[in-house]
Amino acid sequence: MGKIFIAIFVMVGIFTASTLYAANLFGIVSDKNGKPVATKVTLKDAKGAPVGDPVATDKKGSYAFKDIKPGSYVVVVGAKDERKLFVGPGETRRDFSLK
Amino acid sequence: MSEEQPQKSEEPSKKKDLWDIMQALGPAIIAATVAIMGSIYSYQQAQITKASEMREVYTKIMTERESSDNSIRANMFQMLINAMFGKDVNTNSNPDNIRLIKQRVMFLDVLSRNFDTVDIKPLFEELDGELTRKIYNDKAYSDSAQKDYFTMRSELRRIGRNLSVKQLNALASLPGTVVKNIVLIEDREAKLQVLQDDNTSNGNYDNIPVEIKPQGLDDGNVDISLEYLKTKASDQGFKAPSFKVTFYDMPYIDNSVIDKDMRVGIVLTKYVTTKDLDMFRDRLDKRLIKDYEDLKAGGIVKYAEIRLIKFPAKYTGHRDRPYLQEILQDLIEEKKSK
Repeated sequence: MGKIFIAIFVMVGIFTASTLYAANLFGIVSDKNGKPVATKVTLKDAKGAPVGDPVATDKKGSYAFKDIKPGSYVVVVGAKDERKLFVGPGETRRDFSLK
Repeated sequence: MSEEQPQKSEEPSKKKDLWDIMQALGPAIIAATVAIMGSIYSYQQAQITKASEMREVYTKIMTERESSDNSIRANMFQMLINAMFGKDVNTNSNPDNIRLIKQRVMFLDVLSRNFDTVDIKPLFEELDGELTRKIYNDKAYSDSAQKDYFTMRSELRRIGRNLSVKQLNALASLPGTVVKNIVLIEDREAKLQVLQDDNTSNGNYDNIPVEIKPQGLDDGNVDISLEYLKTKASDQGFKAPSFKVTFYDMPYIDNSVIDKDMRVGIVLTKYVTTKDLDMFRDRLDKRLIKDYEDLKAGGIVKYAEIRLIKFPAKYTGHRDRPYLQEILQDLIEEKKSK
């Protein structure tokens, strides 16, 4: 019985955590010719601490960070290409192109 | 008697050469050639005439279609304007009636969907202003009525934003355009802050040579001045032009000359005031409540997002906008020259 309660508690916790924020950051990473790039995108807060795990772009160069807290962030595209931005309430789209 | 020996009567027959054959067949060949050429010419003439007739028919159909389309659109425009300013809306009924306001919002939606190059911004702004006055007038209206007006204003702003973002995206997809995202924040001490992305869109690092100076954020009106950096450098006495940006600014129509053959447009994409979180919590998008609460907890009272777009002048202006075909032709020629 105790295990069932723990499972329910964990499930509710996961559900609540995933619905806390609606702010999403998403977009496309492309090269200078506009072609999609397969790379890693890392999100850091304003102090430089990583937010969640880095994500890999898909075939179309798309990346997405879901349910994040609105505020200032630094997006690292690839190894060290850093861009500052502010993620507002709701959906925020930012496309990046590599130099 | 001697008999004359028979003379050689004829010389041995001469073998006919090619020239002889040509001489014999010449008139026939010439006649055949003339006949073939004539047939070809006739066929070509028939084809040209046919093509010309087809073009005429096509032009006629297109003209008639354009004419009937214009006629339908003119009637539709007239009908919508009459419906908006007609007697029923303005005199016979109470202007506070939410049903009539819904009708006006719907008319504006239909107008904006069908006449996106007609400047109907004043109609939107007039209704938005009227609703804003009702929303925050506690004395004249009940809580329930204020909430209904708030919902209607949100719907009106959604319509305006969809239209302006549609135009912005259409321009942003064309070569030579640059889009920059800018966030404006007002804190509890009424201090305004501008947060600009490092990044611009469109795969290049071309920037927009302007400095944004916020003047104020007020109920969906963002008051900013754009300081053109080149002018500032060359003319110290230059006063930056000021703009009031609302959800109803359309980049095709509302844009300024920024550089040689380049224009800049500003689009308001998000506006949030934490005052609405307290007053109209149940009418806000449920998914965004936590985000708004977080802004409030961070000391943010007003939040606005604008997008600045720099684009070639040839893409724009409902009065001086070139036809789409001309744009396409320009793009094709540019591509060829590369």
